[in-house]
Amino acid sequence: MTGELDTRLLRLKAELADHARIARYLGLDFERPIQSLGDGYPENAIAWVGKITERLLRQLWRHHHVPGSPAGKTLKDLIGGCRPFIRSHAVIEALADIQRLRNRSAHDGYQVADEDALTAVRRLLDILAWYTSTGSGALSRQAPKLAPAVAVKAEFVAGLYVTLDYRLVTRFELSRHTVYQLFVRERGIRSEYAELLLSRDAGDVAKVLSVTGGDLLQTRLPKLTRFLILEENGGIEVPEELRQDCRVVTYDHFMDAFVDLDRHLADVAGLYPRLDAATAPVAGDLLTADARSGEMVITEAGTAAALLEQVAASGGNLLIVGRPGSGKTTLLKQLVTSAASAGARRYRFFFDLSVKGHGEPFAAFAGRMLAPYMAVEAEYVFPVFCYFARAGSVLCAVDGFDEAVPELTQAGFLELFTELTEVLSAESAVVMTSRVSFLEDSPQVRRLMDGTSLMSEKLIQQLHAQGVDPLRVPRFSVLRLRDSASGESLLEERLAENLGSSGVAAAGVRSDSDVVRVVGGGVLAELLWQHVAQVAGPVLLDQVIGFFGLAFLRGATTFGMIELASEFGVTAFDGARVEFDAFGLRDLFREVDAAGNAVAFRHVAYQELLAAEFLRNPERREAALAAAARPRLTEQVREFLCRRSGGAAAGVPVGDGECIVPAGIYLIGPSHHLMLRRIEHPVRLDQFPVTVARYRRFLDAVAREGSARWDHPDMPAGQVHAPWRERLRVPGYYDGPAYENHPAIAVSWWSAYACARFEGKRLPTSLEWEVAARGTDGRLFPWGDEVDLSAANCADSCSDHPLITYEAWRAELDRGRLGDALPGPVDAHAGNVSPFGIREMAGNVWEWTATVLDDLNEAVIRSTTPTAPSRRPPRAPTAAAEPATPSAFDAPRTSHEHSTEQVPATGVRPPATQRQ
Amino acid sequence: MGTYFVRDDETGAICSFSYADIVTEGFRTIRTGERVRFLTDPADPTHAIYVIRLDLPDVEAYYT
Repeated sequence: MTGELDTRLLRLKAELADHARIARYLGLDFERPIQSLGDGYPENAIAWVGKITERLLRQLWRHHHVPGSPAGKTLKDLIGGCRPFIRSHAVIEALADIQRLRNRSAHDGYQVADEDALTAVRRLLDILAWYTSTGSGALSRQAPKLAPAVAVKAEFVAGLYVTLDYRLVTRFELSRHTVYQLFVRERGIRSEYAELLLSRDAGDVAKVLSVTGGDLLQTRLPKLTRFLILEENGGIEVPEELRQDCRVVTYDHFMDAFVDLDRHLADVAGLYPRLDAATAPVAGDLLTADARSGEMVITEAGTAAALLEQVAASGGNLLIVGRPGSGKTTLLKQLVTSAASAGARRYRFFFDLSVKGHGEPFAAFAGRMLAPYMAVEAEYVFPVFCYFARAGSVLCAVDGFDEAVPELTQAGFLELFTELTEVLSAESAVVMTSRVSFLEDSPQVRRLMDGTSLMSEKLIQQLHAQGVDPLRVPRFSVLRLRDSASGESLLEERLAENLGSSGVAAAGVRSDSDVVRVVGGGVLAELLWQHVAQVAGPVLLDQVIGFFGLAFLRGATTFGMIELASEFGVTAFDGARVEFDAFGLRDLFREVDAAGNAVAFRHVAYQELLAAEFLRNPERREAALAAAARPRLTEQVREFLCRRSGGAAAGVPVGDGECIVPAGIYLIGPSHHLMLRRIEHPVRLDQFPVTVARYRRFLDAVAREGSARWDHPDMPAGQVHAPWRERLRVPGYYDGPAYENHPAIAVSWWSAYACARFEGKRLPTSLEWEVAARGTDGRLFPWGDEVDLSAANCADSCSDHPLITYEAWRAELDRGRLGDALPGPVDAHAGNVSPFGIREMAGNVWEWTATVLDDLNEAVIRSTTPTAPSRRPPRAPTAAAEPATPSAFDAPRTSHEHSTEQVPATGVRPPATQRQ
Repeated sequence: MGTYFVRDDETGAICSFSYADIVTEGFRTIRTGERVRFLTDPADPTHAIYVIRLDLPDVEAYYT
């Protein structure tokens, strides 16, 4: 043992001795890890720390009455069970570190260093210090001198100071209702002291002072903070000696000394949308999880504000879901600001996630937002907020959750949830808003979807590593906002009123007498556009689109005033004053902080509309690709693009039943992963899928001449091109004239490839196929964005209603209603036509593409079959929702059939030729 | 109707399921040896339900 290690061990040993009361009570020997380390066995030291930690956690388990027995539980499970009751983030981190060190030291081949063991002991000390410094009775029996309610409060105020890195110097329980605590922390060469006297009322304090002769207050320590915290005011005058240099507060207002909540709420109320404007009450449905099945079911309907207040008051977590402009932000702001008028002391914080920087950790963002309101050093803003939240006294309102999600997938939402774990796992309530509902799916599916991809697998591991059970974290009710009876949202209503009759008419809104009503879909896009055009005027409009549209695609949603002056010039400001009030475009914006240094659009939908307008210009799509490796493309941008493009007329064949897809940059991908992708050269595609008649001509040619010159060079020997007749549900499908105009099915990828070559063409790639189906505006269906059950041969049309969830599709399948679904003629649906004139790209048959997933030995297929649903939430296109892997049409098979030797086929997407 | 079999890594139990039990969107099929996550049917513990594929490629791979 080195001299240095020896010194450090002695210091740790001395510090551990400070917690002798816990050791005695739990029968623990804190010297064992020190001894092991001193003997040169750091791995044993870590094992001892692990055992001691488990013992501490078992005690906490029993103390907090966690359901079940802690006996036999692993360290991970013990941490998970106790976590909700641990107020200190530092303790949680210490537990995680000990768990990590113990796992690592148990791992074969890992060389445990002395430093590892020292860290483990140091982290154990951090845990012990918390419970000792806060005077908690959780780990050691306390003499029942203090009244239980006082003990809890004393622990709370002490915990706050420990969070601020103070340590307890001394603690006196002076009476049943009075406790004195002195803390100190080192700041550089300076020692800062904090003296806390907690008592029932001023009368008790006076009594204590008379007994001690005021000795407690004779301290002359540097930088002393003194608090007298009373449970109740009681109307009794505070003793003179305390009034001089002591802040006197009631316990309920103790937090006010650290956070200026009134100013925070006033600023929230003052920013757009203002709450003084009269708004019609919004109706909503409250969905909660059924206790038995776990399904989300509507339990109440009524005024959204009343439902919201009801859930918030009960301390439950809630997700408010509604389409853009439905009033989510207004509701949330009403909730947090109503605390002041109601006199409730439950602390309410508001976070606008739409102004959170992409890639900015939530802790940094929350710290930045709360710093102006908290009287602690910047580094302690978030820890103190977390401490308040974990102590169960905070309502945390999170607006625009979906706008801060890195990716609109379940994994993406969970990733942000992970960042919010500090708050979510606490006793405090969280209310958040989102345009995307991600909690209403079947609980079984959700439960499993949490780990669908490798990315979320990793996430689950991270949650577990933090001692969080991912299945338990997001336990939320859902408040789904309804549109008004006339169908307009709050935002649409406001816009319609502001625009007046001319703008309203231009936006396709009908005006009845004095009442403006919105009719038809897509009106939001037009109303927003009219407003932007009105405010920007013809001179600035294109620059507004260019600057803010591109900014959105790059992920920028807040703008500094200097930045705006630099872009638009001082002439865009009245009197050349670079201030928000003077900004010519201010009607589109809101200030994001009270200081007015930065602004964001009043509603994110404005900027999404500008991004869509930006993308309508082909040259600007080039700029979007150049500006960001992965442009930020939301489903709302796609929808606006489609709406504003006005539904391009269907193209027509150029001759020989072929259609042209021009070169260009296109919007493709499922709604949670939209992308811009380039088609380098124009592509000519068949108007219809390959039919039975065409495939028979190919087979005839193969019979006459063999297929060698058309076959893929890698085609396995013995592969034939005759369809798999045993897979056909209609045995005579390929015989006679009855099915000549039906799609070719049950053929392999090798055969599809060869058939295309026989016709002098090739298979389209997956990208080409999707572009051909969705056109330039990224529409959901070949014919547009609207659901049209009569337009395609798919499960939805067979059952005559949209099948959105897995459960709905499964129920339909189990009822046998999809049993008769078969492919139909390729020209049966005149409306199933893409913007380039290509027919039948949704439904009827899976179609082979040239895109091959080498790692899996599979090729991508597109479209869908008559037994599969045509769409998936949130409104992803049939044609592009999610490319599937190849399989035989409507034929469940064992997975070995997926080998390349026998790749089964479904239909042949019309082969394509490439024009150079 | 074809039947798949899956082995529970933790218990070693073998469960059967059909293509309709596959929840993952797209064409409902699974390769031999593929990793999945599933629940068991409370009414028939040898039957896997809500089967989710774990090793699907990233979305962008479908456009290469």
